[in-house]
Amino acid sequence: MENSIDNIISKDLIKLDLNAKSKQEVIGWIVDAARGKDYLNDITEFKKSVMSREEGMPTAIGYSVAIPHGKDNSVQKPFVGFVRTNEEFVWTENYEEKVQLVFLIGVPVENENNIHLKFISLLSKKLLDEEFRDSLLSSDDLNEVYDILNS
Amino acid sequence: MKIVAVSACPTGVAHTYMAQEAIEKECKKRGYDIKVETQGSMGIENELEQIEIDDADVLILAVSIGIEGEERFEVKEQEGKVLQIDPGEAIKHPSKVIDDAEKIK
Repeated sequence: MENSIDNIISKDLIKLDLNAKSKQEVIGWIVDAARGKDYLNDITEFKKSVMSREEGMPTAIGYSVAIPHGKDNSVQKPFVGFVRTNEEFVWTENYEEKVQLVFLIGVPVENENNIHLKFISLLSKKLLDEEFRDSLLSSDDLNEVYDILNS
Repeated sequence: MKIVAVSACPTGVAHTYMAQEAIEKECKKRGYDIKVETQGSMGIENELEQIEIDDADVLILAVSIGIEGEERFEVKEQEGKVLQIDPGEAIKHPSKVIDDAEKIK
């Protein structure tokens, strides 16, 4: 079923067990995938926006989760990309926080579509639920992860 | 115990709503009355009425940017009943945040 909500998360923006040990690698993977799907028209600008948010305040939120995000004109339509790395890694140097589940959120500067924002806010809230996180950590099936994220 | 809170972050897409959820969850666990206003990319939601603020024992400001309607909180601030924290703190350590709120009740 194709509707506006489904378009926020695309299976092409999900990667399980990525072999990565830095936020740059993880963000890079999602950004490349997002460009391929026309979510982004300028990956350099978008990465800059995400990294400046990280410098202001790293987005590791505990629970092995990080939610880097960028609000930038390079975003054509809102998206959420998800990477699970093959093991935990330190999100930001000199901070102890380790992460394994990374959600990269992209939204345009001007976004009239509250349905998308609502979806992102609801997904963010679900990340505080241990069962929800466990299901994302334990599943080996990309289709299943996609369904969990859209549940 | 009655708690009211406001959450807001620079981008207003994720932290704002996670902080809301974390504070609500912890308060419900303890059987406290809770209402959290969010000032995010969807505008102001769940807006706090003056009477709700006046009735509350503690006001938690989980904000990392300037917020709207601060004049509503002047009396609470004079009474020393305001707990100011970063939204990330509410997300990571909700139990400690509510412990701290109890202390200034």
